[in-house]
Amino acid sequence: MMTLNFPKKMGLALIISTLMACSHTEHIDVQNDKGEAVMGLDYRDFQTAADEAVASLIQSGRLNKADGSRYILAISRIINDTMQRIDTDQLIKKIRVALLNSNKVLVTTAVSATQTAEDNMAMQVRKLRASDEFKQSTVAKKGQLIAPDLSLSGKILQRNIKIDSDEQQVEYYFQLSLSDINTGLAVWEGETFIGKRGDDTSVSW
Amino acid sequence: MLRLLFFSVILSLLSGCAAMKQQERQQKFSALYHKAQYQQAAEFQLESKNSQTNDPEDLLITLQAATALRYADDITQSNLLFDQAENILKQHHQKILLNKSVSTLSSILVNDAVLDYSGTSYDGIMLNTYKALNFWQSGNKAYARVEFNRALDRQRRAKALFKAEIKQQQQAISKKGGNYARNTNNPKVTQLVKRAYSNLYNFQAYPDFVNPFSTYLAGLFYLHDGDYAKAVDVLKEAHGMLPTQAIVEADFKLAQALQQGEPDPQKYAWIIFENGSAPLKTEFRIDLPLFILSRNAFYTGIALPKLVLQKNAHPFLNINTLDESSRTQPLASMDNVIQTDFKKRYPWIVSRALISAIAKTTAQYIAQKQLGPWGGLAASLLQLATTSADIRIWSALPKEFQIAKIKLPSDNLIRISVPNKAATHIKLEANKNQLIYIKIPKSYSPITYNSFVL
Repeated sequence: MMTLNFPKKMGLALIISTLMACSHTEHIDVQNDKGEAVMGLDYRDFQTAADEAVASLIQSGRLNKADGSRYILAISRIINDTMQRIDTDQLIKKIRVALLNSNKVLVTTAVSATQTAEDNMAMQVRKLRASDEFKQSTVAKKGQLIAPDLSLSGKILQRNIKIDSDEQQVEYYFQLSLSDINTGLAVWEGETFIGKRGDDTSVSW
Repeated sequence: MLRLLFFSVILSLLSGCAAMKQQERQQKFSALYHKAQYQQAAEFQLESKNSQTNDPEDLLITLQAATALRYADDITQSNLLFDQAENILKQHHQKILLNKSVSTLSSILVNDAVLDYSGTSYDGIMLNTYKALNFWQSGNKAYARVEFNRALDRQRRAKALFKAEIKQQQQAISKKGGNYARNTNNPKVTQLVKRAYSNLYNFQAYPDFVNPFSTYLAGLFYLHDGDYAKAVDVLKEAHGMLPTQAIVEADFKLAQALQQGEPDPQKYAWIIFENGSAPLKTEFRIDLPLFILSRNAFYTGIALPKLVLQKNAHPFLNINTLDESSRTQPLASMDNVIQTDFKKRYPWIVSRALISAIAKTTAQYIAQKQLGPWGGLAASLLQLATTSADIRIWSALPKEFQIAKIKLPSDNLIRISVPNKAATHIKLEANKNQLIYIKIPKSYSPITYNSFVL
């Protein structure tokens, strides 16, 4: 059997520990993330923007219906006007979850600003009305879908500003509007600003 | 010392080989590209690509291949490569702006051509423009907008990048001491270079580092994405850069009208024509005065790059429909964008070549003194072998962009022809704004086009 002398053992231990140190992974503590900020947008920014929008919306009282019933909300287009490839659904999902939890709003998935609905099952299932294979009493009836009263639309903007030769400022504006579909008037608008200042050594994406 | 010298000679001969291979690759790529064999051109280019993604060596290969794939209609693969090119470009620019670029030091010992191709400002602007077009064409307007935003931001940043490069250069020269500063600030040098390469100083330059094509196209995109306020801003800027371009002006006015809520019943087809090929670079040698150890200057041969403008594929394209006949007209000149950039950088390129010559000539002098004629011979061989200019360039770009705009005809048919040749018939989508993008790199190249609804 081969035996290792002390310095060799030490050397081996050192190599192993170095290798272990190389593969470093840790969980993010989302409540208290001290991780380095990035010039792009990360989950913390979406969280901040969504929290602010929801708080402002609920505080405004515009979601309180006189008869205590709930508004039906449709999600319209959210334009990503930044230089980052982001999925605007990330932002909207957080807002939707918070609004649903507030119990003041229901969100329709059967209508969307684009031609296809977010969830087109509601329409697909109605095609079964012609099928003999389905028990017709279980197929959705005509005139049951509920049309939305409100529409949520918005835009995420980015402005890059050079501060001096080494520093740049990147500004993000999360702009949201809630419109009354019946009148076309905006009943609530919100803007969350997220600014970042960092070195100007590269593009902000 | 002698051994070191011979070793250097071999090494430099090898680097000379690499440069020759690069040139061969360029020629073979162009031969395929000009025959509109875009898929094969891309595949050939990618044979030399390193297996590792985002390898700093691969910027030019990636740009060339991605462009070819765009015209081979392999949009997904094209954008994948453009994304890689953008990552590589970022690495290079970061190095320059962090002042960590090794370029000034190592190229002094050999020449600029041995360094990785690190990209120009217009490379960045065009790569984002092409990516935007790829996404737009494939219906992904959300990503197209991001890429157009990036292209415009790059135009804004270009000046800062250039300033950083110059600063780095000046620092490197001042660190080297008086002899270098004396040589690089010699007005006689500027005068001689100007005489040898007068074309560089005789053309109508665009404003620094802007590419009017990218600005106009971005404006056209915002217009069709329903963002009229932004379209007005950007098209106004494009109109300012191209004050005599009637279609740009009309589109600017259209954006204004739409912003004011006027109806827009008329549908159009925009035709963009990528005409000809971007300039190539060639090397020329010039004797320039150098001060080395004595007070008297002596003349030594220096290799410098020169842009060689290519011919138009065609003067224009004829556009015919049932209702109207027109032809494409100049929109923006890529030649001009490239020349403007090159001219800005040229004093720097000359300085670097001078510094390199000083270092090598000094080495030759010392070698001769210490090692006798053989040492001197080896050192002069080294100088001869390593004196060459950097002639790499993104050659897949066009010479210029032309444009036409026609009302949709009642039969939705459009005929496009090069002068004196049979027409290509293109069926348009009824009642929709659309764009037809045409590429013809040489007079003998067949017409390649794609069209999409805006």
